[in-house]
Amino acid sequence: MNMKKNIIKRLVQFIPVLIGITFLTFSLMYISPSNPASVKASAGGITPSKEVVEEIKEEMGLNRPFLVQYVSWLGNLAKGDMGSSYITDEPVIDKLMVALPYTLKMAFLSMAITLIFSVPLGVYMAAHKGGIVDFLLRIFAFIGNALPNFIIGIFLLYLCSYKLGLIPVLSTGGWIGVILPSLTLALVMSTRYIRQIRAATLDELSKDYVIGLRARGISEHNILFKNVLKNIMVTVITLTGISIGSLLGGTVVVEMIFNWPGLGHLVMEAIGKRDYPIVQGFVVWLSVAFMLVNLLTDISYTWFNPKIKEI
Amino acid sequence: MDRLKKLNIPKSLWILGTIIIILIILSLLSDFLVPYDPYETCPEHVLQPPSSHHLLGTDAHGRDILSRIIVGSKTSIFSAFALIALAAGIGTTVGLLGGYFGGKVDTVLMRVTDVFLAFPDMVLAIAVAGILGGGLVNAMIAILATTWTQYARLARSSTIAIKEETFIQAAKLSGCSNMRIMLRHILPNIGGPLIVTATLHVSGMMMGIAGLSFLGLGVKVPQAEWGSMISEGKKFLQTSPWVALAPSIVMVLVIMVFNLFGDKLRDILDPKSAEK
Repeated sequence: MNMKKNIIKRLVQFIPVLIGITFLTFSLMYISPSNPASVKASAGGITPSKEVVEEIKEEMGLNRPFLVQYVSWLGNLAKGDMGSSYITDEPVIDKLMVALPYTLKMAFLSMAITLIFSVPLGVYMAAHKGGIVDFLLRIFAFIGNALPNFIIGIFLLYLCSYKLGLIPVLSTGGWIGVILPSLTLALVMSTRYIRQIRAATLDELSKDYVIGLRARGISEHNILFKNVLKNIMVTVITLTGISIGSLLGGTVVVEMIFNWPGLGHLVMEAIGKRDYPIVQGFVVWLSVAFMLVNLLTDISYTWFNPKIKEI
Repeated sequence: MDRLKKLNIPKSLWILGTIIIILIILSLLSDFLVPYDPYETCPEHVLQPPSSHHLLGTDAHGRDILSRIIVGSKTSIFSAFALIALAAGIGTTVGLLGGYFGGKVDTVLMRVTDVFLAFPDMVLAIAVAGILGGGLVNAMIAILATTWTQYARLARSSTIAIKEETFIQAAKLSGCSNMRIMLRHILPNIGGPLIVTATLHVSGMMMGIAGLSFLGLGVKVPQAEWGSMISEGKKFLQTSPWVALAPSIVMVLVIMVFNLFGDKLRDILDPKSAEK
């Protein structure tokens, strides 16, 4: 099949990008103003002597040439070994694995909320263009577009936890705690989704086949649900693919506001302690995940729209 | 000027443009406009609610919030402008070179662009700012690393589209240097969408810098900046919500003005991509 060939081609194209990603991530530590060896040496809380730092530097292989260090780091990475924390000496992968489910839970829930609300609303707005709902939601989308995620988060925290007392302020990592952070992320995404889905539906409704169906007396309801909805799925998928990137970044901010023990929380803590292997692991992981999501998005295009052959 | 008249600029754009210019002037003159010294702490007036003395109240150090918001506008607005100028400059250069020369130059430049595009934007920005150690300049570098790619792609695709036009061929035949063709013939013709993107980007940049500052990776305390003010205010949300809410509301209003301006500008300069 042609499709298989395309997927393989895309996977091959991944390789140089992957090398680039890992190279950049690794160099980040190199350009950092603080020396990893002294961070590690002072993890115990005592300022280390120069000799101790030098010893640790040798032990960590930091005296080797840059490229040698990179290749050995990359080799370990390929085996799934991302090094270990400077502070606690735990493997980075273990720490990431503990935090990952929390972030995934939040990301999935926010994506689900977004889709459940924006697809019907966007389609409804287009079908009843110029109506009161359309008007109000367009204002909502415009205001929402100007709201950064941390402001929405702060506002929801203020409203739901302090004013209304609906949800405990400090999250416990359980299901109740995930609602507000997910809602924050969902609100950020929904504003864009609603606008785009409305535009895509309007676009679709003005096409010849819709006029043809109307002329044959097919009900508006059937046209919307049987034909239009299927065709705007490509837009929905594109949106999903694009927003995964900002969703992953958004989780960091939201996790900090709501004290949610996910990857973002972990990485911010690591940044505070200059625990760079965790930061590197975080960046590499999320970037690879992002690339895979993009690949899946492209593949699913062909599924929804067989006319698209080349991906 | 004649050309401007021909474009038939709607009134709303003039109004929004005027508001933006006023905002810029206000932020430039912010040091003289503030009712109080934004950095002066005052232990007797800690966390006071909004009153006629302090219109937006005071923060945990007794500093006047209104004054801090006004001074913070300079950081937010001008760092956003500087970022866009840099991102657009770098990105357009890369895209123009790649699109114009094609071949190996293009492949190499686009591979580099692909690598930067492969990172989820805020994730890379957080890592770069975190590892470089915060500060406004480092935060700007971090955001720059993730934004220039959009301009590179846009400039490249527009350049490729325009490269084969007859007027470019004519310029080539009449012996114009590559440099001259790129700067005098291609750039002005691909400028429209780039300017629209840049205008629509202002609010995104402001959010990005404020977001990093919110995480403690942007401006250093005690410098007044909206994101860090909101972050500080989070601690007092229960007892003194105005500390966080006042800068939030101002920030949202300013972002809205820039968004509206960008939308209107797009309708004029780039009608094809305008939303219905």
